[in-house]
Amino acid sequence: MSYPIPDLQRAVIARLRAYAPLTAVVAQRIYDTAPADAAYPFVTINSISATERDTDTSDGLRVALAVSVFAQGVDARAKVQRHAAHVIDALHRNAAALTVTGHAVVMCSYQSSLVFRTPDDGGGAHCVVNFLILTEQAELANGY
Amino acid sequence: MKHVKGVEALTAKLDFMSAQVKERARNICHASAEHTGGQVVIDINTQKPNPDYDVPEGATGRRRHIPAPPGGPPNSDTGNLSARYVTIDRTTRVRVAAAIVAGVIYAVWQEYGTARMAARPHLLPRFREAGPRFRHNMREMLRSVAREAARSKTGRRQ
Repeated sequence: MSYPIPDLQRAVIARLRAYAPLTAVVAQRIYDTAPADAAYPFVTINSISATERDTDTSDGLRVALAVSVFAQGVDARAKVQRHAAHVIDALHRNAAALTVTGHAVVMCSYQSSLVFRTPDDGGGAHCVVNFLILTEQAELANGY
Repeated sequence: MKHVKGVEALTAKLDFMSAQVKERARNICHASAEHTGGQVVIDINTQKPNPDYDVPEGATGRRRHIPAPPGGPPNSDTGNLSARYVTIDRTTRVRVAAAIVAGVIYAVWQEYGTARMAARPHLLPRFREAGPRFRHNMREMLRSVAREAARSKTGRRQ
């Protein structure tokens, strides 16, 4: 099975960068890993963990994807939740918007989120948004 | 008028199963949380510093601490983080639950990272790892309670 995670991550970033309500607030500051001097607010991919979900007839993965949203200022927590809502709107039940070569993204579903203060740059907030993604290999090379 | 036989015995069996499942599920839940919390503490206390990290010039005292590499558990500096992890039984009348709680705010910063600091996840990986064993133990417990209830006529332990 070809490993779809790098492509999947690229697809998620591309989808977020193409989602106008989100880019209206974070512009194109949607990163794999944020540069040290990234301006606020910005979005990063936090963690991706995949577990095998093969069936008799197809190879699949269950992917837990966490997206981080960072904001700063006195109302950082409110801001970060508003931006996180755009991330959810962009991805939740929007598997069709994620194109991964050789794989079908069967499901992309919002699971949970967590907001907390951070000490960065005089005080900010961080929202972690968790998604569950199921992928299936589009066509198996040699049967299975 | 017809009477259904065995209702009392069946009710007694169901009561037995209900009480047993709750008690044993609580034990499994708490033991799993204790084990996971213990693994987290061991991970922190045995984690090595990042060999590629350069201590900032002129740093003194705590600032000379060399953190662990990003992506894995944090390492120990003062010992406060690992010492503040506790397991709490959160079972109520209607649910069975246990929580692994970190008593310091920076545990969440370590787990998920911040805008300027990389994440050092330590609790969630262990939590995910504990899932299959937890489910297996729960399944076995339910089977065992069902077997005991089936063997007994009244629902009481033989």
